Amino acid sequence: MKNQSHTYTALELLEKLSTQTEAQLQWAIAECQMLPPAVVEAVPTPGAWSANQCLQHLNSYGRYYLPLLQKAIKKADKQNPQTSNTYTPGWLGGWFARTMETGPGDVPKKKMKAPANHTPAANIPSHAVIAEFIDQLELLLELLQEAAHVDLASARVPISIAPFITIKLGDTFWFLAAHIQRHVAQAKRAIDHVPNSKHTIPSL
Amino acid sequence: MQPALLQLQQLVQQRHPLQPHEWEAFADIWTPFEAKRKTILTRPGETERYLYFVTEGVQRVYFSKPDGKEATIIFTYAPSFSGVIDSLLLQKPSEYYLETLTQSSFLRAHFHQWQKLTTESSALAQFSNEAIVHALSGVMHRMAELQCYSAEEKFMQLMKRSPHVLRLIPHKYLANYLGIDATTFSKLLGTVRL
Repeated sequence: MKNQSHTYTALELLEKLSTQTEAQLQWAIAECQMLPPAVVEAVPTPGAWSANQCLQHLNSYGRYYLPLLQKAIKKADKQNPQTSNTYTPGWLGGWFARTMETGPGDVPKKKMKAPANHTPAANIPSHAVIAEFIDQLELLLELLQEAAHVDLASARVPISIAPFITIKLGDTFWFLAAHIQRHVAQAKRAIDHVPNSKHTIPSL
Repeated sequence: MQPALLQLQQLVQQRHPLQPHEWEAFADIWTPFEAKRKTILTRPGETERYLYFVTEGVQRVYFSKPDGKEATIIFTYAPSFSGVIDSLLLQKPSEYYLETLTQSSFLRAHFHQWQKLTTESSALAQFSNEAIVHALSGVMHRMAELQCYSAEEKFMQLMKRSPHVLRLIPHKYLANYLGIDATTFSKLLGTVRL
C-alpha cells in the first residue's frame, strides 16, 4: 500500500482493521480449524514454516501486544476521542506497519527474520495453536471496537524489540493487523503446498 | 413484508397458525437489531429486556464461574428465538451471558409488549407456552446426554443434529458445550474426516 492511501480518520482506520480481522477469523474458523493436523503441521519446503508455525509466531506476538493494547485503552483519554480527525501515523510506528504490509498477491514487500524469542517450536499440537489464534483474533476485534472511544494518537504502547520505545496506539493496531495479514498469507501458502490439502476437508 | 418478518411468520405459522389480525398485532412488536461478532447482549446481574428472533448468525448463552470456568448452555441460530429466557420471563437478574459468536441480525421484542400480547391473545399465549416447553424439552434432553453419554456419543449426536456448526463456531465453544476437552474434541473430529 502506498503512503498517500493512509489518510484515514481514526474511525476509518479501526473499521478497516476490523474488516481485515473479521476475514482472518472467518478463515480460521471455517477452514483452518477444519484441516487435519498433518496438513497444518506440514513444512512446505525444508527450512520454511508450516501453517502451525506461522500461527505460533503470531500467537507469541499477540501474547505480548494484546495485554498492552488492553492496558493502553484502559488508561487512555476517553474525554477526547478525536475519532473523526485524520489519523496521522508516527514516523516510527508508521514505518513498522508499512514494512509489515504485504504487496500484490499478499506477498511480503520486504523479507524479515523473526527474533529468536518469537521463533516457533515445532511440537505444539495444531488444534491448540489454532484455538489460541482464534481467541486472540476475537480479543483483537473487541479491542478495535473499544478503541473507537479513545484517542489513537495520544495513547502509546511499548514495542516488543525495545520496550523503552513507545509508538501510537493506532500504529500498534495497524502494525499488528499487518503482521497477522502477512503470516496468515504465509500459512495459506504452506497449506496450499500440501498435496490434496483441499480434499481432506470433511465434506459437511 | 421484510424478509426477517417473513422468516418469523413462517416459523410461527408452522408451529401455531394465527389469524390475520393476531399476526398483525404480533408482527408489530418486533424491531430489527444487529450486533457485531463477540458482542455481549446480556450480562449477569442485568435483567433481560428483549426476546430475540435470530435471522442471521450464531449466539451462545453461557455461565461463567468466578474462577474463569465456563459452561455453554445453548447455541442459537436462525431461524429460532434467543435470549436469557428465565431472566426474561421471570424479570429477574440474569445469571448468564448472552453473546454473539458471529456477526448477527435479529428481530427483537420488548418484554412488556410480548407480555401484553400473550395476555391478550390466547393463540399467542399457546404459541408462547409451546415454545417454552420445546426449550425445556431441549434442556432435559441435554441434561441426560451430559450425564450418560461418552465424549464420542456426544460428539456423534452433534454431528447428526447440527454438523454445519463445525465451520461456524470456534471448536473450543463446541467442546465446552459438549463438556469434553479440546484435545478429545480434536481427536473425535479426526475420526469423522474423510
